[in-house]
Amino acid sequence: MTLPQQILTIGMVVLGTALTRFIPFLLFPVGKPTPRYIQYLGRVLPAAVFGLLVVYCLRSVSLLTGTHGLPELIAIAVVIALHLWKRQMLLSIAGGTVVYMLLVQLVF
Amino acid sequence: MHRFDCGAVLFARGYDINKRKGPGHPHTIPIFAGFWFLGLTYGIYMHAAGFSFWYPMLMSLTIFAGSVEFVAVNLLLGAFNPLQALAMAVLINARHLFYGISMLDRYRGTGWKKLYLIFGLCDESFSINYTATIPAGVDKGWFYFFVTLLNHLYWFTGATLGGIFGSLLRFNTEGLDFVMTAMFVVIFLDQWLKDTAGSKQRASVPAPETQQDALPQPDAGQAEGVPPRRPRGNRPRAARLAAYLQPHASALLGLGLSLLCLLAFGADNFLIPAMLAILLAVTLLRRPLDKGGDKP
Repeated sequence: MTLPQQILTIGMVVLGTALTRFIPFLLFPVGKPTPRYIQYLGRVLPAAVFGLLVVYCLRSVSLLTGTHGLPELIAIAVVIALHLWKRQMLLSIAGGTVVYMLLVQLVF
Repeated sequence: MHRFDCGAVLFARGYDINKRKGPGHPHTIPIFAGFWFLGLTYGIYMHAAGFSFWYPMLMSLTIFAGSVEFVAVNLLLGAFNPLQALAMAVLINARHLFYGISMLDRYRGTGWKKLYLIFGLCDESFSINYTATIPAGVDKGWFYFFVTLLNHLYWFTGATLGGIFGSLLRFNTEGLDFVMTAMFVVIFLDQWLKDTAGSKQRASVPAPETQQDALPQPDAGQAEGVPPRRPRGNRPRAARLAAYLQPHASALLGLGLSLLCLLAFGADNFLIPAMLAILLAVTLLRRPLDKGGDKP
């Protein structure tokens, strides 16, 4: 990507992020009920989007070649176990990342 | 989340937080640590991906949304596709729409500060400002403003320092990119646990229809002679599984449809089809998914 393309890409991310923050204040005046469909999307979309993002993070993992996704699988298991145990977001993220780094650098 | 309140109040009143951080305010430390940990990691991550510190510095300043900034690194490394970047930013940040709706009243009458408050409405700003009780004598506009500004500063300084000092790190950073995966797995898991808790809470409210609703096909069940209101313990395993998975339908749709689109369209092109498929699916499945979801 050239520099102008990078700037445009970042600009689009800035625009998209700002849109999601400003639209409610522009669309829904105070005192009027929010449309039910919008409220519904607010309840169900986050879980689906987080699922999409997990898949997005793992999009380049190949199950058939290389390490067969084993380091990812093990590290994700560590993240889940740590999080179910302590419920400390930073500990779960740091623990899983360190395990993954050790796995790809030393084991696989 | 109340852990930040004390610090913000002191700041709004012009106190030096550090001098006041005695045993009474131990909770301001984790949130600062949290912003710095993720911010520093983000900066180091960008450095490892080959970007100078200008990138995390300017991106943390202008975007100010942690998860999408991690994703933006990948967008910058991929093929130029501004439309995908826009769609991705809107979808990842779609939850902000609902933060905004919740803050309509609270941010009213804050004057010029309102523009900045809306710009800085990240997860943390929302959770603090939404739940905070503004003490008497403190201007709410300034209170919200300083909470947002502090969040912004923590994130910005963390990301910038990470970008600058990433080059000084002597250890092998191979595999550091997993921090993004780990972050989203944790967020996904948190959402999953929240959905479980929410459905249990609803189930504890005596509502005779709820169990029947949870069955996937109540009509088929009745046709086979299954009474519609069987006690919980006797329900067939499939129905119990369905009842367990029902609150997670959206999460499972997100995972499943994304995987399908990944297989169908490949790693470089699956995002937009996956987003459209998710939006279409939750719209078509609104009736079954919306059951019991109404907040009182």
